[in-house]
Parts: sequence; structure tokens; C-alpha cells
Amino acid sequence: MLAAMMATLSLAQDGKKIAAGERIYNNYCSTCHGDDLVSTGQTFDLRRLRADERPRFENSVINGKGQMPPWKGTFNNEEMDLLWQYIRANANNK
Amino acid sequence: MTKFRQAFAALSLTALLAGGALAQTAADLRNDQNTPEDVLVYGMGYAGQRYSPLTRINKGNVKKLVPMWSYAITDNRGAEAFPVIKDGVIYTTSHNATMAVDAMTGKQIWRTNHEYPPETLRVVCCGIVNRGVAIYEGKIIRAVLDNHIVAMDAKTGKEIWNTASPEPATIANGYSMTSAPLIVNGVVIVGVAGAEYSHRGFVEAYDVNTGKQLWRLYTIPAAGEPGSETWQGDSALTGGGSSWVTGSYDPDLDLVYWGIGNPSPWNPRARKGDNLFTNSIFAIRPKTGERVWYYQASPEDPFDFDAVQTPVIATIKVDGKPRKVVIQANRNGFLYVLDAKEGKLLAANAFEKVNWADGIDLKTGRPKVTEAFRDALAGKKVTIWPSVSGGINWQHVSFSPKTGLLYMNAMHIGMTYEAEEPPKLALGRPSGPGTVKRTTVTDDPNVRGYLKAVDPLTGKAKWATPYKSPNWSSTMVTASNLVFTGVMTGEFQALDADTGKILWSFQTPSGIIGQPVTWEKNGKQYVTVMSGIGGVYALRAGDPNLANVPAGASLWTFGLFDK
Repeated sequence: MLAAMMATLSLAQDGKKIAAGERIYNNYCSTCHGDDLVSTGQTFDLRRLRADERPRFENSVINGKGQMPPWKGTFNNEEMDLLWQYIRANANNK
Repeated sequence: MTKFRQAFAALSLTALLAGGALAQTAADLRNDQNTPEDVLVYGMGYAGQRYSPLTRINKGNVKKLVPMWSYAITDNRGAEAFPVIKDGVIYTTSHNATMAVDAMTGKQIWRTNHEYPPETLRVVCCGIVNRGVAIYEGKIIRAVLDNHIVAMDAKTGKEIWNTASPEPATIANGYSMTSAPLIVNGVVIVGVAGAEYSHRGFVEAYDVNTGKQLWRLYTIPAAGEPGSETWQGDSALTGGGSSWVTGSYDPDLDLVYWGIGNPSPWNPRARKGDNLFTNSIFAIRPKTGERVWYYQASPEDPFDFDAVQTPVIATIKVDGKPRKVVIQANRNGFLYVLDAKEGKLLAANAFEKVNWADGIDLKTGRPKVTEAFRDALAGKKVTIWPSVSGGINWQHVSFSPKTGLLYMNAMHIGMTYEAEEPPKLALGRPSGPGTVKRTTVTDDPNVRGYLKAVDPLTGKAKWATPYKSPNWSSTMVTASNLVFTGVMTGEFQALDADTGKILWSFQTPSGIIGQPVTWEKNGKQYVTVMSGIGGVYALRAGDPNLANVPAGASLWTFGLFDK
């Protein structure tokens, strides 16, 4: 019973994190990477990121990549984590 | 002819030649629509009609239209620029370069690159683009994304002056520039973007010779100024009101018409009130920057309904009498006709599917808002037509004085919409799409737009040609009743202005979101347009129809095959 409650609580917390990540994504990323993470084809489709690619993701966000501007100083560690949670929750390959 | 008259005639000719040698004088710009060998002013003339009197290319021979040449822009961003053409040279732009190209051969004459800090793109919400140059007395003038206005020598591309728009117009504060300047009697008028980053918008002007700022007209009132009472608390400080699309000019009334954009944030619960002067049309005295009249189309707007479409100036019959009017196809789905001198609203009718208002009260000028609109303000989830992209976005309409109709690439997309708790804002922080929840709604996912021929006074379409994705290209119409447009899947097309039938289509290498123009040289007519997908719709709409459209900007010129 307790374990089930803990699991539900944990899921709810995850849901909150994902929603917070979505807000950050909508504010900063969606203009190029697409509404709801759906890229039309001109930019990288973030849903392709795999679970082990977080360092690559953070490096691109901080330093920019190709036509993407550098976002250094814009997101703190927690916000970066929220963004990653949102992307992973919608990944092609979970 | 008497000797005196001969001498006078010779003198006049000299004066004319001298004027021609100086080139692109104020008088030349005023007369642009009547001199089809040149395309000098954004919109193919100060009236912004995008109408050409040329008829050599017509319904009978348009099938023989073939590319003369194409030119690589060397860029993968959206190609939205309006090509300016003078003395056989085409001047065009990308977000980071200005180019002069031989109009007959497509060979590059010069290219000037414009550097801007990479962080600039953090505050460019809606497409990394530039919409073109202005020309005046041998100078080519443009704005760069990081709020610099640059004047170059038309012959060499060498920089003559480079002015940074004064504080607070920095990228850190959310400002950027994408539109082409409008030059009126030596006054360079420019607009800004940034209402998705909590800025306070303005229209401003510079001296064409020195680059010195002449005036700035804020679109959002400062505390205590008239209109400031229409903002809740201190919400006006980050109130938006961009001016990101070039205006038009009437020389007789000496008025510039400029469209003003959405309030910031998109979420309306943070800024209760009419939010003057967002979503308005301004009539501005170009010499002083005085706002002579304004008309607000969408008070307290939750839906990003910028009123930025270039107001088209035309003389049309209203109640049986010819009247000079300005016409605006607004993002909110209504087509507005206003008296050009006084700004009195003469007609306002829907040209697309609209459910946020039942109509416009012609006496008060205010929309008759619906339950859905009130629910949106209250934070309830609603379905709204049109979507935040609008019944039309920035893509310019054309107007034919011959048919009396507007030719517009309308968008047929709705949305679900919900404004949750409003965000806290600060200058330069995002205040756009992240502040509301939306999903796309379509009647038919394979008909998201129409090219329509619309009566300005009724909003009714004589014909409507459907497209899978909305056309993000502007239209252009000729006296031979041909309408030219681009398609986001790459086709450049000519349609019959009387029926809407597609008469000719040519596949360019990328999607077209540019602005077609036509011109003539040595007795032959040409059509020029840029190809190169980008812009806010292609980037973010997730439209599956665009999945296989490659990026890559190029400039194209077409003529009749006559071998």
C-alpha cells in the first residue's frame, strides 16, 4: 500500500517536472524545434535524443550548434534537467 | 517651336537626365508603380499594391515562362526578402548578407556580410529572416537582426554608415529587426520585433545621409501618457507592440501607414484592459514621427493577432463615390477598410473562418466579441479560429485597381487555446508561445490555406484556390490579370486573376516564402522571386506536408522562352 502510494507520488512529481520542462521548451526552444517537439524537418528533431546522450544535449544547449545560438547562462542546472525530462518523456526511443 | 521653348525643352531634358543620374530620388520613389523597368519601393510602390501595369506576360503565353538564371544565396534560413531592382541590378538580402546581382545574367556584383552576435538568435522568435533593402540616392539601406541599421554604396556594397538603434533596443532587452526600411523624403523608417520577449515596441527614423536618429514613436504609452490607463498595473513596461512589417506611404496626405503588433505576454490575464496601442494601424507624419491617427483592431488580444500587415492604399468606390482608403487584411480574420485621411472605419468583414467575434461595430470600431473570446480571457480552454498564426500572417496581399480585388494567401487553421496562470515578466524574457497552451485544429488537414480573390468592402471571395499548406509567400498581380505566388513546397505559380485557375507552375529547389516582383528591360518582362523555406510556420507548425522540403536560399528570374 505504502509502496503503491509512493509510486503514485513519484509519478505525479515526474508529471510536474515534465510540465515545467515543457514550459521552458515552449518559451525558448519551440520556435525552431517545433510545437510539441515535432520538427518539420529544417531543425534537429529532439525526440531522436537517446537516454545516454545527455552530455551531447547539454553541450549543444550551452555552446550552440550549427545554426543554434549558445544558451550559456540562460538555464540553471535544475532548468536544464527539466528540459531533459520533457524531451526524454517524449523520446522516440525510451 | 520658338527658340525660347527649344532652350526650355533642352533645359528640362538636362534636368531630367541629372535626376536620372542621381537616381532613386524622392520623386523616383513616389513614381515607382508607373516605372515598371525599376522596382524601387517595398510593395512595388508606396501604396503597397504589388500591382504591375505590365502585360507582356499574359494568360496566352504564361505557359512559356522559363527560368533565365538562378543565384545561390549561400544560406539555409528563410528567404523572405523583397528584391529591389534599379538600372539592371537586383538588390536582395539574407539575415546576414546583402547582395547585388546583375538582373540579366544572375552574376554577383557584390556581397556584403553582416556579423551579429550568436546570442541574437535567442530573441528572434519567428524565423531567422530579413525582408529586404531600401534604396535612395545611390545608397542601399537595411536593418540587421541585432538592431543595427546599415547604409551601403549601391555600386560597391561598401558600408557608408552603421547605426545601432539607441537604448533600450538591444538583444538583451528582447529587440531585433527583420523588416525592410521605408524611405520617405530622406527619412529612413524602420520597425522592430520583440513582443515575444517582453519589450516595449516603437517605430523609428534615421537620416538617410548620416544615419542619425531623427525620431522614435513608442507604440506603448509611458506611465501617465494617454492610453496608459488601458494597461493593468505596470504591465505596459513589457507591453510589446512590435512593428515588424514595413508600412506604406501616401505622398498627397504625407502620411505613412504602419501596422503595430501583439501585446506582451500572449497570455492576456497579465494585462487586463485594451492595451493601447497594440494591434493597431498608425498613420504617421514621416518628418516628425507624430501619430496623426490610429485604429485598434484587436483590443485585449489573447491570440497574437498582430495588425502588422502592410496597409494597402487605394482609391475605391465607397457608397458610389471614389474614396482614398487604406485596406488591411488582419491576422484576426477581418478585412478592414479605413478612410486614409481621417482613419474612419468604413468596412470590416471576415475573410476567413472566425469565431472570436461576430463582427465589427462600425460606429465604435470595436469587435463584437463572442463567448469563446470571453472564456479565453477567463482562462478556460476554448477552440478558436483563426489560430495564433492568423487568418493571414505577414505574407503580403496584392490589389489590382483593374479588378478591384485583393489577392491574398489566407490561412485556414484553428486552435485549442488555454491561458493558465499568467507569468511574471522582465524586459528581454520570453513572453510568447510559452505563456499559453495550444494545439492545432484543422477542418481538413490537407487544406490549410487558400489563395483568395477578395472584395475589400465585403470580405467575400470571388474565388478561392485551396492549398495543402498555407502559402507563406506574398502575391503580386499584373494588368494582364495574372496573380503570382510561391508555395511552401517550392512551386512558383501564376494563377488566373479572374478564376483562380493555376496556369503555370515551376518547381524551385526549396520552399517559397518570398515576395514576387515583375519588371521589364529592353522590351521584355521578367519575374523575380526568392526561394528558401523558413519562417515561423515552416519551423514550428509540424506540418507533415513540409517534411521533405529541403532548406537553401536562391534568387530566381523568369522570362518568356522566345527562341
